[in-house]
Amino acid sequence: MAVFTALGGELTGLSPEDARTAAHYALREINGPRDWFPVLLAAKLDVVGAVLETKIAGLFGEGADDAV
Amino acid sequence: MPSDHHSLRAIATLVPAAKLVAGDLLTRLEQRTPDGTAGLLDALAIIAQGTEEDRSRLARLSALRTTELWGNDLYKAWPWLQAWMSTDVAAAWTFIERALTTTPDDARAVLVRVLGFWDEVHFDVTAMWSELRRQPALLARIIPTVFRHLPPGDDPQHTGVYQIMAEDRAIDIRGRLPRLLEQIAGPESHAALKALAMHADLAALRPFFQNAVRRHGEAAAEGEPWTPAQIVAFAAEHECDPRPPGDLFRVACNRLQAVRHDIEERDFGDRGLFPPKTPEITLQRYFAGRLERESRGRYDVTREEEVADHKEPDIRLRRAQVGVVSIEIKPLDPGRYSVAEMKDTLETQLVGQYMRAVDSRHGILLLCMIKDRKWEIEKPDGTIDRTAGLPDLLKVLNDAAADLVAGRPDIDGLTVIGIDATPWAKAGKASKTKEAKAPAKPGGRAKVKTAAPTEGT
Repeated sequence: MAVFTALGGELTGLSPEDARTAAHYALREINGPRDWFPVLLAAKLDVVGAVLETKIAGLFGEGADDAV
Repeated sequence: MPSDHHSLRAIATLVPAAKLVAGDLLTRLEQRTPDGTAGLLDALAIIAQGTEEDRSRLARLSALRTTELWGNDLYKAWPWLQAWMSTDVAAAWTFIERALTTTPDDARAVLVRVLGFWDEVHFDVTAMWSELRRQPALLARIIPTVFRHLPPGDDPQHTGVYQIMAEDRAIDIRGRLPRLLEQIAGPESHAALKALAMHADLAALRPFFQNAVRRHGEAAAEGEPWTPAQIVAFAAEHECDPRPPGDLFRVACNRLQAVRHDIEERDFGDRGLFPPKTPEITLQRYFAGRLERESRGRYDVTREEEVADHKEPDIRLRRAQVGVVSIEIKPLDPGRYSVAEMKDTLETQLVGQYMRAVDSRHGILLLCMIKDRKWEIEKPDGTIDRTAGLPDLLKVLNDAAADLVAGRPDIDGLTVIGIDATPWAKAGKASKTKEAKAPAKPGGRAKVKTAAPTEGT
């Protein structure tokens, strides 16, 4: 959230690796994804989409889901 | 360590994320079923947020999987049945009807589980409820089946504080179905209501369905033309004789609102007439007298002096061939009646005992605040407001009343009216806070509301 605020709500400047890490953390929030997750999804659709795919693969016992 | 299905739940709560992966997830599920059920429900909830084509494919897949699993592994079948219910409720219900006939011993348990789906929190069932509203014939099939296998006579009897279980949620859904059918306009739902009014499995609900048929017809029909005498009476008094019970209820509410305005706003109203700890019976006498004096021939007032077990309301308004409105009165001052106690009065006392005892389908809880006090009320964000006033209290209680009416076919109208009968704050002696809320009134007193013209101005 601090990073989101520091970037002025603009997440397009994140590197792909940071975006991937942020997406993993967002999906692990115990109270549901943070407010900035939709912004991240819109800004980094490819990277976040790939993270979502790994979560789905986990349902079928595939992939290394915990990689952050 | 957060589990994988926790991530799936997170995706299911985010519509854009769910839409992004719904198609791919569905294709995977069509090719292969996961070994366990962990995360499966969330995966199905994700797909249900996909395109219309995704939902159609999900309905077909859910039907297939439910049928395959039902006789072999019921535990694994539930998530698929839930998905089927949310995407094609008519077909899923036909399956349930057949299942209930083959497992009569477990019928109540099956139905509790199935109705639990309809109150689901993380599976979007909006589309399913919309579909039910479009299919009154389906509702007319569902209602008798639900009441036959989940009979009210077998419901658990709760006393005091209790944890809401799946069975309680199913009972709540059961109570909402008849009202849902009544709310659907058109000849199909009207015919369904008439059929249910004569249904052998719904004898206990016959009064509700008979009244529902009448109300449904009234809502669809043009009203009877007024007679000249009615027009003359309306011109003079701005109201007519009540005919259906709902009219009597509206007249009662209007009278009590007029009494409230009289007490709260008039320069020589009755604010401050009642000292703290005034007995309830004193207020009963006062309001019974006010209602009787202002009846204008529309109703008779009955007040119960001594009733065995106190099973009757404080005041009843009755009109022959129209009905009965039950009124329960509670004085409010510091120490008397928490929010929970008033909710209990509404549901257990007024609806559960008094209205049932006098065969009344309309009730009013009249709260008369005789000394200023505050209540603790939970706000939507989960925090507690410890300084809630009478208007906040009325909002909470009227929401609860609306919930009761929606969920109980045995009542048609329920409302909570509050009257602030606390004394005017004396000008010059009131604290700054009180002055802000209760500005001084000409003549040395202050009043809370100043909408009415004040004396001498």
